[in-house]
Amino acid sequence: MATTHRVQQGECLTSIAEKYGFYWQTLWNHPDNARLHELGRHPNVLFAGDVVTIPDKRMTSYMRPTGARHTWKVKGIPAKLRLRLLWDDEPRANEAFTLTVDGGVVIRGTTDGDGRIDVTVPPTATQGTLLVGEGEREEEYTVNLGHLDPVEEASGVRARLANLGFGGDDSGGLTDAVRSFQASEGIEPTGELDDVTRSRLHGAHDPQ
Amino acid sequence: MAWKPPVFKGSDYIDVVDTDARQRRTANAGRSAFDLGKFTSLNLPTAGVESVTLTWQGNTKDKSYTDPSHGSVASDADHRTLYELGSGGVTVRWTLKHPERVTAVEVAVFTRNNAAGVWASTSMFTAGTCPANGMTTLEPYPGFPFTLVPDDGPYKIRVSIGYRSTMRRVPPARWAYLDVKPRCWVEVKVRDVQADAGVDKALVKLVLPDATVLAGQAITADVEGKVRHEAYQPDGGYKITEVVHPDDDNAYEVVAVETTD
Repeated sequence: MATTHRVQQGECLTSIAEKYGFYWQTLWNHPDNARLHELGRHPNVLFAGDVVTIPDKRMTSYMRPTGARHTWKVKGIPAKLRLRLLWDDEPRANEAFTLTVDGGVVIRGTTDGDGRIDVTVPPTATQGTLLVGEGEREEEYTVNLGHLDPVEEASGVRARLANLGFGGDDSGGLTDAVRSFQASEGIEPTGELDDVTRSRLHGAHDPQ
Repeated sequence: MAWKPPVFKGSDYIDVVDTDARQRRTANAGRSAFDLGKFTSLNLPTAGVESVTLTWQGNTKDKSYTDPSHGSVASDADHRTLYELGSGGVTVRWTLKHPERVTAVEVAVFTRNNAAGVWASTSMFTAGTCPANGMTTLEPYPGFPFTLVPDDGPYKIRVSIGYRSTMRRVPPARWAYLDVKPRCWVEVKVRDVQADAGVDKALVKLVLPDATVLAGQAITADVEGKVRHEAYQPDGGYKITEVVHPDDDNAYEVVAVETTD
């Protein structure tokens, strides 16, 4: 009998699939989860309170001779942390970085020519500490993994604007941040969060 | 011997500009499925003070600094602005990088070993309204905004910017120095020098060729190449603490205390 899982802040379909022993595609493509598609959700970005149907596990039989020891390997599929780092809207190309995942695993590397970091992390990793650049360009980020909300939600808009450098504690609120983003995109700076603005924000923040 | 502006270095000034280098920033990112190539973009916008210049009587030859620990600046460095009192104001001009991100511009004036400064003016801006360049004129003694006196020079004239917490200031401040030439100074040739040296104190008696009043004036003394003072600003070794006028009309005494730091 299928069960349901109510999404908590910080979860995504990959982490939920890992928890219940499925591939994320199995959950995403389950007919009972079509509502997530209708809401415009993405497997990487769910919203706290979303409900995911967890199907029953299928039984599989294996024939093995008795009197011997057998080993089964469970396939584990890691998740990815994919970041694109910019400095004044320009890619931070070929800059050294150090990423510490959940205070343990340390990953060192260099951004690619487009300022991208593409590293493997456990599906249930919750936080990364990223140190990038040197000297005047050195910067440290605490990256909350899985905490990015859908762009359809106000919290998702606010987080994307902040990640792109719009807004801040003393910026005058979301309307000013939206207005600044619109101006940077060549859209009339109304401060209104219309479909065009939302779409442009999504494109600027979540590139393929 | 002509009066020369004092040698100084960056650490003579103790004003502090908050640095926002390597701040810990928080970002919410998507955890990406292995085979779904979505990225999360993290952008760091910057703004900064691009230039600061001082202009006096159409003459601009100063340079600006961004490093508080810069080394010594020589008396005869050709970029120093030597301002003469009573000859009009000094115009401070600045240009900003990405002014649309700047929320405040502060112009402040500091003297050595004075963290509080002698004058400051701050302009606040809402998003996108800060102009790319600006200027203000310092009208000297006896006018606004403060009294320029040679002994306090050079003045550090600093322009700094305010910002939103999501951006980085590169640089957060830039400054230039303004030397103030004394209204008058006395150049003397010493006929006789008597030095009574103790462990940490020396009384140097200067016998002057005429009765020019030295007390309260800028003093440059060079005693056998060992004691040198410029406008009460020692560059090491001794510090003038007193200039007295003894009974002898032609003699002035300079009390110099050896400094050990």
